[in-house]
Amino acid sequence: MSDTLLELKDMHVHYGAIHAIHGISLKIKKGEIVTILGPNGAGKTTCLHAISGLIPISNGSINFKGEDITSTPAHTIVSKGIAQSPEGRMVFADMTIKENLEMGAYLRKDDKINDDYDYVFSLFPRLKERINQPAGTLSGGEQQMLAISRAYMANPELLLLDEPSLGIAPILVQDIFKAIVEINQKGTTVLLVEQNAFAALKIAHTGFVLTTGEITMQGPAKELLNNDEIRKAYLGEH
Amino acid sequence: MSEEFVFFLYDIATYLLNGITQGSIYALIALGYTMVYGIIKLINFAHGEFYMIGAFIGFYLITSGMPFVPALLIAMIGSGLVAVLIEWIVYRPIRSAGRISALITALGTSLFFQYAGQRVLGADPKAFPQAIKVKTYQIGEIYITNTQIIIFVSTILLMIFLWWLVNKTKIGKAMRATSFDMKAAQLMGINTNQIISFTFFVGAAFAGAAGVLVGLYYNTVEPMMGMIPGLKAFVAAVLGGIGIIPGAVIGGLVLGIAENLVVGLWVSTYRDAIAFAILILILLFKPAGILGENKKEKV
Repeated sequence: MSDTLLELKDMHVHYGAIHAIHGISLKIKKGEIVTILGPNGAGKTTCLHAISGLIPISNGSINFKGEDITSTPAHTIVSKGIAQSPEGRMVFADMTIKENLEMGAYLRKDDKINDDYDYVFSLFPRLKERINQPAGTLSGGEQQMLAISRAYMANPELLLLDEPSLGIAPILVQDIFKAIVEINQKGTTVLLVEQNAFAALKIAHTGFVLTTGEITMQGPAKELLNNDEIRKAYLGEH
Repeated sequence: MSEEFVFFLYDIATYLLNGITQGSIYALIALGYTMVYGIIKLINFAHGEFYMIGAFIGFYLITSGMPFVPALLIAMIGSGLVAVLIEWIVYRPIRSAGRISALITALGTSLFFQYAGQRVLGADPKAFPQAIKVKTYQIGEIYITNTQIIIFVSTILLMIFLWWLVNKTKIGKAMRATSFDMKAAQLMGINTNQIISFTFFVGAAFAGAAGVLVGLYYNTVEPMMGMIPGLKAFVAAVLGGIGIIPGAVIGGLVLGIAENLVVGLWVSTYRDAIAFAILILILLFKPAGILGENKKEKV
């Protein structure tokens, strides 16, 4: 129990008549980078939405730090220590970078907020240069940096990242993955959902493969990286 | 310049002043329309009733001897609380039921207040007490009353307050975040239900202020008084670009001025026709409204 941060037990999700997640069970250890791989439509984003409380689960349970957080409202989940950088970034386009980061720190009242601003600006100096610019004027890669930084500003113990490499120039993807490793080394546990399996497995400790709502494979990331099936299914094009 | 032309200019100036006064009222009501639309995409057709409720609270308080400013503030808070209650009881349960259901519910809520108002408060117009003695100032041949000045100054003060609230305070920024994307806002830890309640409160408080100011200006209040100004404010919000806060102000002023010019220079019975003609024209030719283009695309 002690080093398990998040545990999903037989989690099911339905969208109306559609059974999107068919009973997922997984454990995430404190301090790790865990990645969930899988094709489009496998339920990866649904899984993160369920953890964040954006959609209700129809069966099973979600435990965080030993506490049952099933059916806790989304805004309360953040206060428990889980923040998410959502798919498609969803930065507040007509608010400045500074204001976006302030929103990330919305629930915080501690005195370390300023240190965290400095920290995300050291991770992504581009953001500091554009601090008073509306987020809508940033490039896709910069918006992704902002979305990750904004989630980090909540000072989470568990950071959920949904497709941070989606639609972003390869050179920026490198920067972003480097930053993810750095955030993790500073002590934040990361759950990374990715279609870019190769990049994700290279930085992750543990991997899960999700296919049509079920976990079909799991193990240490290094093993998955060398697994023939995975290489064929997900790494073929690399 | 001929003397006739000078008098014509004086007339125009008077119409403009009346238009600005009327437009300020429309703008105050339109702000609530546009804020609520911006946050939950609901055209709250019951919004004009918050204006009526504000006017009646002001009427009873001032009649019982309360000075104008505290009566205005209490009327604002009262209208705001009624709106919070309505959002909670009526709109929240049907929030995911679709926009047509919400629209019909809003119309029903509006009728409920109009007719319950007639039942409870009486259908007859009531004379609004003269809380502030009317003084008329003359500049050349232009006449302006102190109530007009009060309406104009109150509107400007309320707008500065709203600008500060939305742009400089944490709750205002949370309103903008919620209005941009409710799910993204929840991921920040923002309790979006609270923010929606707060938005209804502020919007209705502004409408309530408009109600009291109109009571002061026209000296009567009655339960159906919210209907036409509510519709006009809706036109103003669409004209400026619905969901865009400065658009409501511009739309309100343009509408108020246009109406008064038409009434003054042409036929007074066209006052309402002109407002709805503007609505039809804007929907045909620029449905996004005057400021609609400046709205940033969601990326």
